[in-house]
Amino acid sequence: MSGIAIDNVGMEFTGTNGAPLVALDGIEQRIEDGSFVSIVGPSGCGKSTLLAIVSGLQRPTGGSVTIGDRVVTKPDPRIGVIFQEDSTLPWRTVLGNVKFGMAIAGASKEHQEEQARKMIELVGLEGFEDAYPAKLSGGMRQRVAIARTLALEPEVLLMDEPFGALDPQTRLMIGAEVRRIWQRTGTTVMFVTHDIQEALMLSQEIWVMSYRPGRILDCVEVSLPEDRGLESVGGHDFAELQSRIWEHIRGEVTRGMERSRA
Amino acid sequence: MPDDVIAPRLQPAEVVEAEAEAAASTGEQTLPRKEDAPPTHGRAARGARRRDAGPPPALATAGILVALLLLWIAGSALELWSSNVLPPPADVGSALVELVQTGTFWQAVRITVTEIVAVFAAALVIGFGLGMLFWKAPYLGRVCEPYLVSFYAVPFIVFYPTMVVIIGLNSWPIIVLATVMATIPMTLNTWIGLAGVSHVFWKLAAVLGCGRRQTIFRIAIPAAAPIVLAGVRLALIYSLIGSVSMEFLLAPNGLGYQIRYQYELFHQNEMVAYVLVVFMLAGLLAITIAAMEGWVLGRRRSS
Repeated sequence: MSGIAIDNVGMEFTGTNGAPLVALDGIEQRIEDGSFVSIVGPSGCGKSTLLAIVSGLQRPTGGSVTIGDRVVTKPDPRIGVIFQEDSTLPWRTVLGNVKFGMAIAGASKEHQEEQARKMIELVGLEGFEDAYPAKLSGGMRQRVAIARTLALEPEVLLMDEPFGALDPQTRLMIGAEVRRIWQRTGTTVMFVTHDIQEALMLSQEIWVMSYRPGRILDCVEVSLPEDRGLESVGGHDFAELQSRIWEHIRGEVTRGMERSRA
Repeated sequence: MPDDVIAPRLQPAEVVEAEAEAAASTGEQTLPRKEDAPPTHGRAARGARRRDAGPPPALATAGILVALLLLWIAGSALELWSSNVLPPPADVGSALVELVQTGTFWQAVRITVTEIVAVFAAALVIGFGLGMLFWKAPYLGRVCEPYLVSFYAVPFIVFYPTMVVIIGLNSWPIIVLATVMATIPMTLNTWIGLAGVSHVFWKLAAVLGCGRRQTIFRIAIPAAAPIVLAGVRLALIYSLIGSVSMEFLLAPNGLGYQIRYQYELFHQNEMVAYVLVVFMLAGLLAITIAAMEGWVLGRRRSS
């Protein structure tokens, strides 16, 4: 397991009119080994870009990301990534999908089989080993993707709005499950979402990002009980944290809307 | 679904059709589903979910064939049409029985089948290769695309007489031209299939550390399979149509040649017998390809 160090990371794109577009500006953050951090912010604030940089899928135009003691320059088996879109392979069964990452990594057949079955159990898909994704709901497919990623025993787990395409009830259920899995595996998790409640339910710390240029406006420590259930949503602490985050985001969303209209 | 992101500029009618077919065959129209509701499995569940009543479709399809045969028998018996137009089935049947005992018949079958197999194989290899090339080299692809798309509409048979002059009166001009015809849909479908692979699969390949070969063979090709297979089906159809129709025009032998030859001799029974053989060959090829598609794609369907 390893912590994540984000040092002065910046990202500039060339906009449609040729003018530079600063997506991220001087992001300087630490994530401790084994913690669960969520990033919230308005659409277009660069939170997914930040995650893509940490995963090695994109190179920053400034600064660097270090995981453990190694600087991230490209995707790496130590970094597990879960996407918002369905990434299950429709031509493979649940078992085949979970084995896929291990097969690419060159694991032995026995290890693949044993590990895949363990992971399928961990995400609660026992009995569906031989089913093809077409037979599964969106939530179940996302569990398959989670199992495939966890099977590689990544040191950090990056999730980019992983439940964005799911209905609210499913989000709640699968979110609780991700938290349970995190508590069991102790993996460092970085979780991007635009849902403040979801972030509060899942994480230990929440970073609030600003609309362009993307900066961290606030780091909120989530002082809620370890096993938070639905009942904590109504609690005083929860409401207070929620309004603190919402205050930040409201201003940014308005700014973002005005900017995109202009 | 991953297959619906297609290169928007590439839309000849047949490809669009093929895509619709491919989309239908992957059964991606998602019905509202309850999260984690255990999907129903097995034959019994499938039977229970079947909405339309009546006999199984395969049986009904065969029924139509029987009905047409009965119509043929009855129409001939009642002399609804002259036997010069369509001879009675009994006469055609006995002509066929006699034909299959001749060497000429089997030689014609052998020549036509050889042509079809050669054309189909060449179209698969060349079409797949070109499709990959145009996908990998988008500039080249854009340059060639208008030609490919308009070639779809060119009846290449018109070049046949010239080809006979150049190559000679044997199977080769047929194989060359039919290969051109069959290669076009295979190329376009391979290209569109690969270009339409969902971007999430490329990201997945990157984060899992797939090498070039692994990305192509273990992710891109299987992901593109529904549309590529629709191209395979079209390539087979064009192989058959191309071979038989060019034999019909001018050839030393083959089923198409035999149809025309019998026609010119006023051998109605034999001519219809040969036509029936071509029908059977087409049916056999269609069934083979459908079985192959079912084997490759069946598991991906949701019902």
